[in-house]
Amino acid sequence: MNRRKAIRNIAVISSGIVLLPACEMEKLPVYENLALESQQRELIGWLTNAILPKEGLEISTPESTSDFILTMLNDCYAPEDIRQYLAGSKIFMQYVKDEYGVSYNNLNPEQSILLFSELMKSDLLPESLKYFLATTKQLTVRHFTTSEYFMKNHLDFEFAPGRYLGCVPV
Amino acid sequence: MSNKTDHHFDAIVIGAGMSGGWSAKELCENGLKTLLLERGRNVEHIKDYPTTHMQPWEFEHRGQLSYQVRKENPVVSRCYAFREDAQHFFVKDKEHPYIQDKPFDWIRGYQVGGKSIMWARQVQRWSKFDFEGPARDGFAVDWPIRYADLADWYTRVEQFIGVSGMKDGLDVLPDGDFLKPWELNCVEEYFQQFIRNNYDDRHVIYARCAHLTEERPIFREQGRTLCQGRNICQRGCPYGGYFNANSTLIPWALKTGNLTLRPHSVVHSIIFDEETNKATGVRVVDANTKETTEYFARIIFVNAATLNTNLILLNSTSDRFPNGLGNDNGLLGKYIAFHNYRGRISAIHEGHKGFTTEGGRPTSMYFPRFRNVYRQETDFLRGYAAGFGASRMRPVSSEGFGDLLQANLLATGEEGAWRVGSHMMGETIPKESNFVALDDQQKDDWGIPLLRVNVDYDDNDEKMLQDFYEQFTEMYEKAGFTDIRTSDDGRNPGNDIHEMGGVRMGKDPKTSLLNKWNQLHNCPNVFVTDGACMTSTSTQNPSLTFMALTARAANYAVKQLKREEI
Repeated sequence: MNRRKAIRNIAVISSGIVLLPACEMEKLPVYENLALESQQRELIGWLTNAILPKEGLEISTPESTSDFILTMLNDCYAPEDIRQYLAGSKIFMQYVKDEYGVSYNNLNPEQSILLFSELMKSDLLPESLKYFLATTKQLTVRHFTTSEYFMKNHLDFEFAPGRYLGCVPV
Repeated sequence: MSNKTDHHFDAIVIGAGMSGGWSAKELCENGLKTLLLERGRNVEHIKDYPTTHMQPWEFEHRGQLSYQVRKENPVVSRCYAFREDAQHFFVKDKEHPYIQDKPFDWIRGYQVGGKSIMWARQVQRWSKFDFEGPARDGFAVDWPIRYADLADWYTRVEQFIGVSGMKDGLDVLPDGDFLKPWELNCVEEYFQQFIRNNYDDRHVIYARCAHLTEERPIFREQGRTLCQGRNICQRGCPYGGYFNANSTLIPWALKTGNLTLRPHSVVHSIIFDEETNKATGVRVVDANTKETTEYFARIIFVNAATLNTNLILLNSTSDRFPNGLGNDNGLLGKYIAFHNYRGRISAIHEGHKGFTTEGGRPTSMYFPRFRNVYRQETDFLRGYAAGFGASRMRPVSSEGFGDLLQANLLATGEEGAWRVGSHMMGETIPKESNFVALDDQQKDDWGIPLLRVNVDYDDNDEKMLQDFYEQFTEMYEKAGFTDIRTSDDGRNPGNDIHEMGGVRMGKDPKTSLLNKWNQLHNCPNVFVTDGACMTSTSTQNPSLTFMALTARAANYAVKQLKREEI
């Protein structure tokens, strides 16, 4: 069930006026536990794709990777972890500006990869920054490895195998 | 049809789960008008399995529970099967509180079918050594029955529910009426042969399980077909491929025309009539409206699951029985025991690199108890059974970022090492200091006292755990397994979900509550055949034994009723 859509729809209807939903509203489901600004949403969208590009792969999932990340954070993470994640996201944006002089979405892939590796290795940077990056990666990978494409093609997943062969040559 | 008002029946069964479903089936088959009371909602086979067809990626959280659910329900969140796909079948701590005088994970399923929906389907018969245990080793009291009393009833149950197994010819774990087994994999066969060659006092065998691997007329009649090896049984199975009460017992009982199923019925207490010296019925609090109603019957089967059965009997007070129904000796609620599941061992098997498995299978292998079987040999009493499994891993590398990460993930598919592992299932010694009691102040939303649970591990459990580590490390080392790791998962008693006792069977009314027919010594028209009746726990997964005891007691009850003896 997509309750976020439902919440949005109720908001439109209950206003008593026929509104043409703004483009903003179409794209922005409500996450009641995330104090999320639109630039953080954009960052997460950029970051997940920089961490794991999916160009060239025929993968369809019930939701986008960004939506999955936000849903998991909203529903499954403790409030203190959400706070740390969001704080880390802000530090990330500032860090890139300070170190590279540009906004993060102006980094090329090589720069991004170097940046991520450097952040994960550093002992000096704030924990929340590492947490933000590590958690985004973790959820990005989980979204990918639980996709139909990955499970069927790489984990040999069969929903109803109907047989068990105990000793087959690899 | 006999002349009954809608509150009068021949029999009342409390609890529509694994054993209550059996009570209802047997009583209804024998022509008794039976009221089956269940405190939770109805769960109709197939119709009420909302997640059974969902692919892994269709779960919003890919199987994980929400933070709120985990925070509000720490006890059930520790249950291995309480995940996104089956959480709707588990009782939430928040809704059904109890008092832990010592840490105890009380895992419950309050719906028609009970925990038979989510159970692990592992089934083994008790042997003569198990029934003789208390008498030989001087703990609890002597069982009033022996394996020979139950053998035919085990067969009856196995034939009806369907059990896949191999005939192993072991006196410590009697064979049953089995459907064919799934294959063992090459590492399991290797380990089985290794044990055969190196030990004559122990065996690792195919783990018998309540799944259909062959067609038989009875299963067709039940409307069930073959297990497809999906391994998501806890959601309920559209094939009826595994046994649960919903697919097999409830519809069967309903077909007789003798069953009245009343969900949303919380039993407050059993009504005792001092003049006739019999139980006459039950007081039911409607789960939703909270109104109290009374139902009457000539016999009552208490199958509310171990601790709830204790609770109901303790709450059934009268002038004759001020301490609970049948409780003249003060032992009701005492001698609660469970299974010690804390020990784990895992390792790597370097061999068989050229082989893997294909498909899926809902069981693996099993070590019947091998300690202290024929005589007392160790510094602890009794012993443990253990599982054994081997599987080929598919390691997923998530190293790096960007194209490198993508490449690493897409490289998954190369078979990794064979992983092997065992978990311990230890018998615990029932003792008076492990007990449940009613709180004298607090009540639940239905006006029923909260249960206080006082159950703990003891020294015997700790010694047994050490022995499990030693014995299995030795076997694993000798078998050539590497990277051997043992662990104590430190789980609370109850997390095994095999709590038993409190209304124990025995020969002497001074030291037990039930006789050899599962009748309360002091109130013979009340029968207790769920886990509460167990005098000792042995090592086997207990549900098969509960069902066999139930079938036996129910048929006896029918005979006694017809002879007007009760």
